[in-house]
Amino acid sequence: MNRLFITALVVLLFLAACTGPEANEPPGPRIVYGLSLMPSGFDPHINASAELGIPLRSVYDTLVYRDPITGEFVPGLASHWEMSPDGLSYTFYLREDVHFHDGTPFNANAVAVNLDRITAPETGSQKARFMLGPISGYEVIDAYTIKLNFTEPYAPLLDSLSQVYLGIASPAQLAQYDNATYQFHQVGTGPYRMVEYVPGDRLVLTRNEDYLWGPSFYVAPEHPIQTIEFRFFEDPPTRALALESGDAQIMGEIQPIDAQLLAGNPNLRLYPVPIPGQPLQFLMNTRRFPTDSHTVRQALIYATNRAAIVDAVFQRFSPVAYGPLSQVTDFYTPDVAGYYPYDPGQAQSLLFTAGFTETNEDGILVIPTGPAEGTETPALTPTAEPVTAGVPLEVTAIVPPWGLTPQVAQILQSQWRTIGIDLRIRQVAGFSQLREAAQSGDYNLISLNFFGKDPDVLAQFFMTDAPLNWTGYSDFELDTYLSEGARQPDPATRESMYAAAQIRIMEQALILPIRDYINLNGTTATIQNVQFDSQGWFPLLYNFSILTPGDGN
Amino acid sequence: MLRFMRQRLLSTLLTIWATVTLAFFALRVIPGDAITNQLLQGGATEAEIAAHRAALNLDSPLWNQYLGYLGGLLQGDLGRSLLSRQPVNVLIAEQFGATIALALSALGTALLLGLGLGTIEALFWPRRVGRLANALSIVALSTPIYWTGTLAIYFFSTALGILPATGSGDLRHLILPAAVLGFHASGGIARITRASLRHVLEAGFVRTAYAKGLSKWQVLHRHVLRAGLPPVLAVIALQAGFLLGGTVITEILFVRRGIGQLLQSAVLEQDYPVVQGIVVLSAIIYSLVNALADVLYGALDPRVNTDLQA
Repeated sequence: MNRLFITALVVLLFLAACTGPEANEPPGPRIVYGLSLMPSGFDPHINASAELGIPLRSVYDTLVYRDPITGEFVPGLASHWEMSPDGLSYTFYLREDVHFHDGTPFNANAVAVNLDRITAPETGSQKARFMLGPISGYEVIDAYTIKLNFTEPYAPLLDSLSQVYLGIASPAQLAQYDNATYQFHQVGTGPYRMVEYVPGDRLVLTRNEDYLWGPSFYVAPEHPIQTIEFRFFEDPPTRALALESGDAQIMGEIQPIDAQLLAGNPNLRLYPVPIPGQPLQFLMNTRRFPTDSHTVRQALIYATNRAAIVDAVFQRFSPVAYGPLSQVTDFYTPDVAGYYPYDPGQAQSLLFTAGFTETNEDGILVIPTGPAEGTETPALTPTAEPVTAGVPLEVTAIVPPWGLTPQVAQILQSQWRTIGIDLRIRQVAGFSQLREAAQSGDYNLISLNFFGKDPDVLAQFFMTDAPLNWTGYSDFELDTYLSEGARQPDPATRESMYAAAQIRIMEQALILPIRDYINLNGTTATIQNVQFDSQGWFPLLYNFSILTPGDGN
Repeated sequence: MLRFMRQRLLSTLLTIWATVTLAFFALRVIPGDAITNQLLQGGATEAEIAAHRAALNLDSPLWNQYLGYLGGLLQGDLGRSLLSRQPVNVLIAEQFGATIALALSALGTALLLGLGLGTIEALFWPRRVGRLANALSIVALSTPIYWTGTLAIYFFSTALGILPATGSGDLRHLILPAAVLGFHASGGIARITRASLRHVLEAGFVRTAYAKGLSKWQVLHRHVLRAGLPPVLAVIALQAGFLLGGTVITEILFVRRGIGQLLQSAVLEQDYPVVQGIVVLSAIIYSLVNALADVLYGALDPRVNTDLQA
């Protein structure tokens, strides 16, 4: 037995001696930035996660940038650009004073190499390729001019080109490494260089002292952060703990309940950042009873006290959502705010109109045998089974595990119960199960939302033939708004198209919007000038400043 | 002895094959896969998704994929991640050291604590010390790692600030996770140690030893422990499986690199080849440790005749 103890001790000490040495650290302030999940791949041209962009946004520059305040497109690697009158080609005039971290000069050829890589089928791009829309090819006009050609006009292009997924990588580095290994050796032109990436453990950036070509809103601070180590805090409760214990100085996606506590700590700061795109929402199935009835769908929204949900689940760190786009998305129309305010009385009278005129022994509304005079029978699609009398008002919701959606569904259940709506909650494990449930058609509500500054995100959900058309709604008018919204180059025209689309979606009550997404970032008080880009997720690390003990604060 | 080992090896291989097969098909019963999920969310059309799946051979018949996988496995090739395109061998090798470091140091802690608590319980029951040890081992058995781990982080990192809560740098980062995981695993060892020792303490030869005038410690050292420990060995081998599972939770809680974190991401994203690779690895480790324990058991306890068993 003694031998056993000694062996255990020896093993422990041996392991202690085995742990690796720290990488060579450059001088200057070093911080730890906590990411909320560990992406399986870190190549922005190939992989799709938002997490990868948090560090890599500062490793790469993009052809254009979006000013985070005004939302305007401003020069990046391209000093200016022009669109052909037919909207089928864009010409970019590139900066001539830029070089990559490995010394390779930046030019039109570098852009061409990157476009080749992103569009090649063998690259297997999961996101970047689709952000280029109907691209047909490019022409290198001269060393610093490149023209991108499209088969159809594609208005979201500039927004796409401003994102890290279309960041420009060093052609020399891309030639040296293959699609599987480049992610460990990434080289861009941005304000930080990638020093090392140890999968599952850390990704380290260090400041690029040569950086002189940043966009207008990159402002060098007095005390820049020299080295940033990104680590992966996948378990939500550990995130606030890590900030408090000093293991991390910046942390994304703090839980709302922890954010409350954090806001009261003088050593910590909270930065709630609105994320553009779709709000937390439930898509309503227009092909299944009882949500096939327009009246019932409207009643469900009237019956929902969204402010109470935001208070209880999100600790008030969120605006209530009224439409299919969050307030910080391009072409959001405030007109949606007039639709369906909380009004349980209105909900009840609508349900009465829809034929739910009696209550069963459980307190659930039912359609009585032989509808009463003057009431509208539920609008049925031709494929639906005829509704027999006596059917209770039962609504099934498919609920994914993320975004505190299960908690929201529970509150919905209790709110709706009081006016006689029986909400059945079916929680699923992940995206695959969500999709399977959607394909079965056996649901009334299903929750999914995507993010993005450009409202083109709506096309994935509301076009008749969209892969995620889970409302089952098919409408020529809405299809036209959404397809023209993506085709029309003129922002004013786009604005009117998307405003009409948002109104149409709400008039038809295709979704139950809940709240705009807010990313709750926490930092220690020593980190200042904390700013994020127009997509909301990605920090402008170049601008971040750090107070060191010598600064007298 | 050799025949026994040969047979043990054969059954180990069978176990591994069965595990691999089960994992392969169980993963595919669940709808969806990593690449479809990512592409749908990236904005791809159904046709584009189909093309990607074909390129990754995900559209060929299941038995075909299965045979291909087994063939690769025999040559030591675990395939490539669907998402990062890294060879699974490499992904696992990168994380393996960190997990083994955690598992072994947790095992060390579990042995120290488990054997210690178990012995104290056996010797001092029903005195206060014995009851205390008993209570501790019950707490160890019945509290989840999430709870003890969060408490440990709160006390040692947030409140006292003496140990780092998260990360996988040096030995200091190993202390809390190893202690928490080891504490949890020590419960089972303590219970078996106590039961086994109490059984031996009541045996005739112990009374004889006392009768011939040996002191309590001499009896304990020369007779009781020697006779009482072999059953504990079997439990320790079983704990190896438990530790492999426990490392997953521990690594996530303490933000340590390792197989557990890799597995969690791969499961959530449905990256089949990575999950399969980790299942294969776990099956191999678990089977080998238990085979080894069987052989050792025979060597330690002459009553277990491994030749006869063969």
